[in-house]
Amino acid sequence: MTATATEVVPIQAIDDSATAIARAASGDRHAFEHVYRAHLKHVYSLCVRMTGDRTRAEELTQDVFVRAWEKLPSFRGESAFSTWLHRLTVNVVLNERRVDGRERGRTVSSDDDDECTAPAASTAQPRHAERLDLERAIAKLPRGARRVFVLHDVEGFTHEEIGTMLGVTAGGCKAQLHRARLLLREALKR
Amino acid sequence: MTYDKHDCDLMCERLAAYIEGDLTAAERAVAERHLAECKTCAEALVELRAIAGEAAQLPLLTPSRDLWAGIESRISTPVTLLDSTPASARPAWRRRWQFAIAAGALIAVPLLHESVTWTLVAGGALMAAGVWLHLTERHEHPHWHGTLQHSHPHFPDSHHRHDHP
Repeated sequence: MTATATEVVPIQAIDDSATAIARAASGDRHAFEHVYRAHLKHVYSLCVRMTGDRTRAEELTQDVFVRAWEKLPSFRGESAFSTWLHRLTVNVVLNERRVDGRERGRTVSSDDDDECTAPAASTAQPRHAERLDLERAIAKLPRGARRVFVLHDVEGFTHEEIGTMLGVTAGGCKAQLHRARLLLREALKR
Repeated sequence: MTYDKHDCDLMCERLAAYIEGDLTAAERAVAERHLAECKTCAEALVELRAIAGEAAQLPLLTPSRDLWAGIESRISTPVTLLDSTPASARPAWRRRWQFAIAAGALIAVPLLHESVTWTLVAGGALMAAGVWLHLTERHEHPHWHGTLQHSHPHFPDSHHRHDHP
């Protein structure tokens, strides 16, 4: 996609997000920066909670917006832009995990041997009961349970939507969600 | 399905379906009777629902640094195709060669008193396609030659002949 800004409009002048999206889709990087700043936190939050790794999440966030820039001309407005962007975020995160899994010789669906790295926290289970906040507890969940919990309880996707994204049945998704909630309940007990 | 009102293990298994609303009316009634009598299972239900509720209220997170510079540099980098040579940059001799082939075909048909049939046209089109592929193909992949093994004798010239002690 060739990006040439033929007209530079200050960010402050772009009040309408739909206008910014339309201008960004036509190659206006200035407008795309506006779109980026409007959606950065949501994209980054989703990346952090799905990966449990803030450093990796920052890299993935950049990947998401670069991909969004490439795909923006294909956005037809059939869904809300935030929904479109969040689905793209999920795809980027899942594809990154698939590539990472192949390079390490692991299967994507494997969950039992998953190692989630909480940000700046030990991966060892605490011997004594200590109160973890929900954010850290989510980061400690097994990958499959973490994905489903974040997509359903945090982001609000339906089981059918999550099943489509992850390639699992809605029933399997519900089972993973229940497992995640039980694990979190144990982790949050005083 | 009915179960003993004190069977908490079964209730725990049913808890996910109960929260999701997947139980039949009869199953739901049994579950609710159990929950009304079992404090442990009732507490578990409250805590699980609270976790789901808290998750929906989690605040948005902020990266440790501004990521825009990295993004902008990536979207600003032009993509160079492997074979992006525009037609105008192709050598002139190539364009003249292609023109000559087309002109020759047009002249040869009436000179040889050939009638223009669909077979002739199809054959000509295939020939033109083959010539075009031959003229436009480019191979720029690196390749290495392995060590050559040959058995023919060498006869050095007079300058390189020397006696070994």
